[in-house]
Amino acid sequence: MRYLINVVHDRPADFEGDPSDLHEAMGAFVAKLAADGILVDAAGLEPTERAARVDLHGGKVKVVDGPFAEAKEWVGGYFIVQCRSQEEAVEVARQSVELHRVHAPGFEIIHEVRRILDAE
Amino acid sequence: MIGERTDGVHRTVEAVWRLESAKIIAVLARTVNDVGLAEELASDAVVAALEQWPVEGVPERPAAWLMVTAKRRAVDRIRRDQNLKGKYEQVARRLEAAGEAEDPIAAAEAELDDDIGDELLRVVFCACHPVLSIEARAALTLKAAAGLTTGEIARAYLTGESTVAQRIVRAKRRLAEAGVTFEAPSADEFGERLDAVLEVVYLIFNEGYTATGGDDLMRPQLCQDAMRLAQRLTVLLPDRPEVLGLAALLDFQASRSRARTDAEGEPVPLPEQDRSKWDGLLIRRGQAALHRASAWGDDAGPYVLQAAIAACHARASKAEETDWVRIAGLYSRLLAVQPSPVVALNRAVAFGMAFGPERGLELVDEIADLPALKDYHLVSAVRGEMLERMGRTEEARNAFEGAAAMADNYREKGQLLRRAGGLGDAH
Repeated sequence: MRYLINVVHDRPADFEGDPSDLHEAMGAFVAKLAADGILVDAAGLEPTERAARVDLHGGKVKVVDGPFAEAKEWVGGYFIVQCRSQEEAVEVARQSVELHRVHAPGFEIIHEVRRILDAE
Repeated sequence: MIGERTDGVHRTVEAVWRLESAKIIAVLARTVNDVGLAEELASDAVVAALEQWPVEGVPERPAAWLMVTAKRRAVDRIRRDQNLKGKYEQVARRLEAAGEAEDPIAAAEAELDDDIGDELLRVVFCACHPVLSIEARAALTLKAAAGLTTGEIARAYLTGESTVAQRIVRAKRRLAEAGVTFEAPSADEFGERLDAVLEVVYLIFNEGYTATGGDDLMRPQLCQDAMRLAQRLTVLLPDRPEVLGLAALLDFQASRSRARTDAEGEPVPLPEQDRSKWDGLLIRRGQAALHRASAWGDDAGPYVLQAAIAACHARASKAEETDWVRIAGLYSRLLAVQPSPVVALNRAVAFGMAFGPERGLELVDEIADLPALKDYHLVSAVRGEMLERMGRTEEARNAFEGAAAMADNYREKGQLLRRAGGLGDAH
């Protein structure tokens, strides 16, 4: 089974401590997932300043350019992992959140674990 | 309600185990210099987790908890078991001293974070040791390096749990009798031993890949276990092209799993598969691994070559766009390093696609009388294919009928008879 783990936080990262610490820790974590053989893909996403959105609302299609002032939270990155069970994907997410707790004190973050639908 | 909660915690124990057990076993094996014993000691920790986590909650650092517990249980076991006592008394004392560290959890976490790549490799090399039967190698690898339980292995191989348990016990005994210690193979036997490891991983994958139907997901999941092992090996042995080749090959093959059977479970041949169902992420990962493997030069081994062939198919967005000339060349190289009748037959098919059915037929006829291919229905099927494309309809029909008569699988038989029938009546 394959899971998408969306790394969600409100507004750009804002925490005490050195961002390069977190960066380094997350780099090592992604390498560990690769070494464990469960990583399919992972990436960080650019801030939403340069993002765009195509909305369908009330039957009208509209292109909205970022940043999205009204958005409550945004996706800062993602992992795609191949796991045997949801619990395993949750454990991966928990380990990543734990790294944020240690290396980015004060940072509020959500890891959303979603199974990718496929015919498996 | 309590049952549900316990069940959830059990699944968490399983999940942590699956992610961390290989490392825990590797660290323990270094301590006791024995993979079999390390695997048993680690299993004791799982039993403890299954008892304690539902009551006390899942610990904050579950992997480190398992490690600390495994070491504590190891001390108990060594002290209790007369057979172990003499041999491992020193080990027990060392473990006990470590257990008295100020923060054993933090120490265990550091140990697991350390570079234990070498130990992880040794576990796999021991599990795939040539003194063991192929079945025993697969079972021990899945148990010690992939975190599967005995029950899961039994379900995956459609056999009883006690059979697998016995197989593993016997494998460990065999390793002990043969004096296999927790060591890496020497430089001059490394290549051969690595081949054995790759073979086991490939066989585990195929065991899952050839499993069709059935409600039990365990068998198809073997593919994922094998892919995980292959990925891990690419990190542990980054400069071995064949390791990268195997990982790429498995990714390419797995990328087609959604397209290779139709709604009724009938196999769909490669040219007719709906390529939009191929898994782009796996193809991309496979291509990246193959690219790294190719950087190591021209003397490609069988896995790199098979992966390169699979990559040619993956690159073609339509069957007509397949680069058959390149595939034909790759099959010639594969035949040179892995001379097998089946490779020779596939090579004939590729030449037929690349340079016309006359050339394909010529190559099939060269090998058709080989003992290994004499009763192989696909030889006749390939002949039929070539003859049909050459317009020699009656001979083609005879070939398809002959192939159908030899095919064991009723689905294949039906497909071949339909092809023969499509060529009109015999008279």
